[in-house]
Amino acid sequence: MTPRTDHRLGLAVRVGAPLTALLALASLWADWFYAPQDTVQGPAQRIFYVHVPLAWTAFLAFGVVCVASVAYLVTRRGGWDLLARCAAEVGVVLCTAVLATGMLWGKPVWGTWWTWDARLTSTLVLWLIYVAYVMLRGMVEDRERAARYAAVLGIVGALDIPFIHFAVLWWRTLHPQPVVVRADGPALPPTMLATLMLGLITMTAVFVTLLLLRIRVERAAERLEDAAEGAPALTPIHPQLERPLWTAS
Amino acid sequence: MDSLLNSGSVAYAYVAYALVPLALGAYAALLVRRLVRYGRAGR
Repeated sequence: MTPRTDHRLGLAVRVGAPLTALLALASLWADWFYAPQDTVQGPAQRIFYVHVPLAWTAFLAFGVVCVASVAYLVTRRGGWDLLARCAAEVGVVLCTAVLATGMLWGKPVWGTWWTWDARLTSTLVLWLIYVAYVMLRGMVEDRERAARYAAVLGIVGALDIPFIHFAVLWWRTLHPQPVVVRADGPALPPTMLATLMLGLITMTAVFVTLLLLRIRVERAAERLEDAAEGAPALTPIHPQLERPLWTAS
Repeated sequence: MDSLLNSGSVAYAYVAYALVPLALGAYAALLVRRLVRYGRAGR
């Protein structure tokens, strides 16, 4: 990545962040004042407009990890690995929010914070896989080896995503069945569907902004690391020498 | 029954709507802080 790309990334974040904030405000208004109140679940159903977009974008983030990991294993280009590790971290943050909002919705509606049904358990497994991915990146010192191991884990982890989607169809679960992605079309009233779509656009913008920001941080850290590796050691090779070796003429 | 469900469940919705922007905002703030720190160290 060139300094020019870095500059473009910075510009995208500076322009994208305020737009994302505006979208978030519009989405918040729609969730509480445009969408009608659910007659059965009451106000708790409004968690749906943040829980579902969070889940979709978490899957999108892990999908990016999978595609970038495959591209890294094929091409061995560092840029793909950088994209994968940044998307994985953002994905973990989003997936944590999915689990938290799911529990906050489950308690008033199901009467329990958590149940070991297929959808919830497979989502927890997905979260654990990518937490392990982030930990793996920090544990293996050799950059190339860490990238290779993580790429394999990143691809294997994404295989859980279709499993999560179909879990509610294959097993009897407490978690409701899909209401948008269905063979016979969405099962939501138009106002609720429009609110959900706005939430989805907003959360995608949040994901892209966070990802670009994370890539900038990673690039800055890499530049520092490379500069430190290229610079001479701060301690002299022979401790009894009065001057460090690199200043000796 | 309806009013009980409504009065109880609105608190969970408020917590969810406070938690998500706080968590994502805190993560974004952490990233900006790291970016500023690395930028200063690189100069």
